[in-house]
Amino acid sequence: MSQESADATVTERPRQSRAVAGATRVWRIVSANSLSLVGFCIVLSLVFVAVFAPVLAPYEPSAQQLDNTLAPPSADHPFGTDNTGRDILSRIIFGTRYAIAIAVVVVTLETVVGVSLGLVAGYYRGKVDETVMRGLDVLVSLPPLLLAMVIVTTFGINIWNAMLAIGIVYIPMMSRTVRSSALSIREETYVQAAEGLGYDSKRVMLKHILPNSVPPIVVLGTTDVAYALIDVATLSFLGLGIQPPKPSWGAMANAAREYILVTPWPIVFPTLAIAIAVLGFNLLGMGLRETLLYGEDYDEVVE
Amino acid sequence: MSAPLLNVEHLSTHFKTADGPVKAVDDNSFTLEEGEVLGIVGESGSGKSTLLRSVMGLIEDPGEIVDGRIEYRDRDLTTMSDAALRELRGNEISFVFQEPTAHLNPAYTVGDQITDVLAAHTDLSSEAQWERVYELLGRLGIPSPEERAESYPHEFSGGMAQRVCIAMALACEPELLLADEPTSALDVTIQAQIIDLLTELQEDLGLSMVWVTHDMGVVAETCDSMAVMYAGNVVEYGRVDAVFDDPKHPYTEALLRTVPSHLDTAPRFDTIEGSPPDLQDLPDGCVFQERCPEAMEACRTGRPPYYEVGGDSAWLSKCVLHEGKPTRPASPSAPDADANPSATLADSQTDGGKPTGEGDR
Repeated sequence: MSQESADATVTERPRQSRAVAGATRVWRIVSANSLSLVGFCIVLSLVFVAVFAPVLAPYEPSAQQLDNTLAPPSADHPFGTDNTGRDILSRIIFGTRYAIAIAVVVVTLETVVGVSLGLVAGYYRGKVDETVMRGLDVLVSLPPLLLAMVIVTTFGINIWNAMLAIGIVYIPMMSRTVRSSALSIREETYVQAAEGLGYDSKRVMLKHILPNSVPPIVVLGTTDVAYALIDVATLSFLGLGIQPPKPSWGAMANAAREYILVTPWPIVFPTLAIAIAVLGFNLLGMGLRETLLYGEDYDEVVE
Repeated sequence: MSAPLLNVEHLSTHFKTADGPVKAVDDNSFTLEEGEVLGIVGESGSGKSTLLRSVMGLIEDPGEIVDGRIEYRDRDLTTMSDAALRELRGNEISFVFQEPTAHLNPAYTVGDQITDVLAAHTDLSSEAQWERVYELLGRLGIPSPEERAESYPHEFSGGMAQRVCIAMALACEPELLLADEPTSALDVTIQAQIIDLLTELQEDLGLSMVWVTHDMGVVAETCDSMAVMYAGNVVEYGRVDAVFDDPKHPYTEALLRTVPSHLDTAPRFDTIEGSPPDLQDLPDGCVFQERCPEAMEACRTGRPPYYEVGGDSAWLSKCVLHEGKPTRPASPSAPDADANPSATLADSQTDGGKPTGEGDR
């Protein structure tokens, strides 16, 4: 083999194999623990349902059959119909889209802002740390759902404000987690070595401290998706989240509340959907916690 | 004589505590010429590493450089801005540490970490960076560098990891390499390899080096000059061969006596009686007085200055046995550096008065 072709394979191969290696790494971490494996499967099927909702749903989510309201489960309507004769299964399937999208947006917001604040506080320590963390303490001292409701009612009832509100409520938790791991990682010798190599604070924070605090961020982020699902459902239930006629699990449960004495099905299935989704993300989070945070050498455990 | 590469003047680094400062490094001076290798020896806790970290400006709270100057190419590092210091660190002044694996970031491949240094200090393109990585790793004796560059630090043995650390340190072709016990965490055979490698690299690249170690053998083998530290003080500084031949400080003498030799037939190793003083409560006068066989009344009154025991500032001893000899001028790199030594020589001869012969034992 000539020298040139050897060089070519060397520079090509690692780049390409990194994506594959990354995917296998994720799979190894997830499958290392049965909790996270089950959770991962639930999450994966939720995503599948959300993506293929139009294919999977037997009816249009807002198609009404006024001659067939509050029907119990049947072959035509496996989950029954609601008070305007809409197919509950179809609405739950489409509701998955909103639930997942909102939870992901909330956690992304929480992560971006929370991680930045936590990193800065943990890296600079002293006055910066005090200022940031005391500011967040003020946020924590308010009841989260109440704060979210205040934000939504102040800035207008729509889905973006609901996501913003819940995201803000979650920021302190993420910041605290990242700060505490940044505080300990900044004392690691490799971070001091990085300072010794003349790296500026941005490079030290983003390339040396952040990548090594990823495990707690992943764990917290995953469990927070579950909490976000509940909170979005709660806001929707209270009429402050997703507005009808958009199919949202929380709003469906709220609408069915009035008919609970007539038929339980319209409230059972949406809440069941919430429960399963929350369970999925919680299991995934718990499993990842065990693998990433408590199993020191998860690579060894797996291999 | 041109200005030295590194000139450390009266450097004191103290750590603040509730019970008063811990004087980890107290009033030390030494110089390093271009291409020179300086060994700093001393027992554990004598302030070797703190001295080196002070030079890099890596002293963290509660530590603080309370006094002195560190001149690198006539620029004072102690008053330099953080940004300017960062320009120097890893670029012109590089470091190699003890425990190589702890100094590599576990989240990145070693190739990524070396390109990171290059990205921070050069404008090389990504391809050029990787070329340099392979070249460096190959130069440092890492087999199949292209593959190893894709490995993570935990996949390296201590010796290999130290080679990677050295590669990182040398990535930007520094002028000055500061090595803090680079071999003490390694197996003996690997130590020898790393020492040989560093010596070879130093010669090939014309590096100037400060080598902190507690291994006299390393100093004898690799260094041009040496500084002996005791309780935060450089007590003797001079050419390695001269100091080994005829140590001018009782501590150096005692230290050299404790180095075991394969020719020794004595059933016990020589030791130095007693233990080092509390850095929080250093005695007045010489720091070595309590363990010194030559201790006398003069040792207890005032810290001795650096006496020029070899006739010029290339050989210094902080011992009153040499009283009467000229003391080290304040700053050899000061504008009137050439005039200074003779001036102090004349001064001390007029007011010192004592014959110099007494010091030469």
